[in-house]
Amino acid sequence: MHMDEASQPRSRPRHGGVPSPAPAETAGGSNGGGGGMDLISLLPDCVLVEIVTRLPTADAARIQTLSTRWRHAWRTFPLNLDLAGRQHCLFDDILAKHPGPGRRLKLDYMPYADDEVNDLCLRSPALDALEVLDILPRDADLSSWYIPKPLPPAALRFARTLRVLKLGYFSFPSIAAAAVAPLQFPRLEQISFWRADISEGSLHALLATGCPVLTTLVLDECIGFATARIISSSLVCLAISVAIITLPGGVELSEVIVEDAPCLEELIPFRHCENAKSFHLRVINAPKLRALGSLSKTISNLELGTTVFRATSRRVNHVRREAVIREVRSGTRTVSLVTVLRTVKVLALEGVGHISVLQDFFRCFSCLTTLYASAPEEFRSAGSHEKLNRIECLKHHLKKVVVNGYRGTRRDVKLAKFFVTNACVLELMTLRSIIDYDKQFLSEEWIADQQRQLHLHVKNRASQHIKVRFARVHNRFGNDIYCGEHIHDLSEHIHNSLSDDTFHRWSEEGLRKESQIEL
Amino acid sequence: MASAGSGDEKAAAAAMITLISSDNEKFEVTEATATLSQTIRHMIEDGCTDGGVPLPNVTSKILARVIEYCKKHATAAAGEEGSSSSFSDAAFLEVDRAFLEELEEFDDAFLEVDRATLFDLILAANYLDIKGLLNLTCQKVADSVKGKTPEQIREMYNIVNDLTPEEEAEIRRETQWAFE
Repeated sequence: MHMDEASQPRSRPRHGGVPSPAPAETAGGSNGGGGGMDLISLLPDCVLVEIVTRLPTADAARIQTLSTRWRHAWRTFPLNLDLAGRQHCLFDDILAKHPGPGRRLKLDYMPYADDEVNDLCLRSPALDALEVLDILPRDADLSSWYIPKPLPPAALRFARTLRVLKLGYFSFPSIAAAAVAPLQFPRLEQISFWRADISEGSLHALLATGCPVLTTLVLDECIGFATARIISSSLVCLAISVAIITLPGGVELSEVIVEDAPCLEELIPFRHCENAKSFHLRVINAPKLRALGSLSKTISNLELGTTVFRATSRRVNHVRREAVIREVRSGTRTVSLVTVLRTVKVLALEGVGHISVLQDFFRCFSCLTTLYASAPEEFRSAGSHEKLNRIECLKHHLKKVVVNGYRGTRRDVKLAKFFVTNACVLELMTLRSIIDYDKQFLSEEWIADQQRQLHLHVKNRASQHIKVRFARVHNRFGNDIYCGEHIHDLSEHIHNSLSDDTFHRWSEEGLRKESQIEL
Repeated sequence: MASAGSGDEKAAAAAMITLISSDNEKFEVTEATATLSQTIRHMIEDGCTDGGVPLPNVTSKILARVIEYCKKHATAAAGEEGSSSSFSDAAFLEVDRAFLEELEEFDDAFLEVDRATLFDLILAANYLDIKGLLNLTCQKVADSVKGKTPEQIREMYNIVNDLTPEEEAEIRRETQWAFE
């Protein structure tokens, strides 16, 4: 079939005098860089379609003016319609001009105030067989919470062809009520819902039976379900965040249960903030889990099989001459330590304030190679660390540690020293300071001081090859940390309305100064 | 489970396929490498690969590059499957991960070719139905056209404008929005 298509000469006789060799000769292309030949116009339609549908909408429409060969390219190829901001007035015009089918539709907001008109638009033949649907309702006030709108019923007509579904501020229809036959998305690979409303039943039905090839699920500040029960034979990556504001009478997330996810590799609770509601996280069966976190006090109860960690809070009174300052410090307590997860290689951990708990995490994730940790509010150690020598992870696996929000205080130094004295194969420890904290960070004197404080005699170092790197990063949300480059890039799936960098990776691109020292 | 996995690999390694380019050069590849091409996969399934697979649309120069791509990606795929069958093997996933990063670098380097070769690779990927290679190469071309004016694109790809001024004006009128 491909040969047939390739052997049909596409160029017309008046094709600018360009010779049109048979494709077999083109494939033989011995003419170096292509000389002065118009090779791109000789590509068969079945290949050009792959190029043109990868272009932004306007770019794809403009290519019609290249030459007669390209005259009908836009119309005959599936539509990739991506309209941002004020361009939405073109929506109708483009739908009218393109006969379809569609490949991708991305709208920052629906073009019409009337829901029925929007629904009618989605029924345009130009969008038939859509593969990517990425829409937000009209007038979504992105800075505040408002009631999700019903998803236009026409959106579901793409169920059989969709590969990617991204919805924000919509309420997903109840699957049971949707149709006589349960809703099926046989090709759907990625779902990201942001501030969407979906019932527990619909979510479970989508995962368990509706989406047989789903690999990525992002549930960002969604409502409508109290329990996210993950039963999926295909899911690889799950990212979930809690809604900060709930609607009156709304259902809010209280528990995430990874019940049976044989392919799950990445489990990413994210977007933690001071007033976020806490939830329980239970992992029952995830035999391929590789990256986890960040684990923070937002997860009030963490159950990994029969291993249980629980968030705690502790009142601390500072007696000053003028007043008593009361402070609540959050931490983590080990309830039981039985199940060991040897598959987890990367862990992001927030605010572990006690050495014994940290050591329990290393016991639980016994093959961990990389740890991302936030600098804790406190770091207490009881007695000697002698027994740590017996922890497999510290002895054989932990190679990289990143401490976020490092300020060089006494407890920060204590935490850093803990790794230097105990991690036997540690290669790199990166200490990241946030630029907003203080201008003094990474000044020559500050580094010299840190170097002196961290300096340890060779005999006290567990690993002989440790490099310590100081880095300065931009991040307004100092405590939110992720598994860095060890997870799939989710930036495309995360709406950044709250801030530009809520889910910004802790990349060191923005850093102004970096300094590396050898201990 | 792990032993079963390696057993499969051995079986795959034993089955070699001969690919014959348009200029009659023969290439011996493993079945795992060859079946990255859906076209060849179907031929193998139909049992018509004895005596080699003639590929009259692909020259030896391009076929060599395509095989290079398939070999690299077939190894990566084998690595992924291996890790799934033996997830308890601690060291395995680590290797697998590093390999995937290496694969991205490989792809970037692979695309460093002249334009004629790039189009030949696209045609070969299309003919042989190798999805990954078709995605990779077409994205490269799309990226080169993105944000350019028709004049710039014509110059870049030596496209001769054979539209009459009237025709061109008409298209511009129809798609005025795209030029704003």
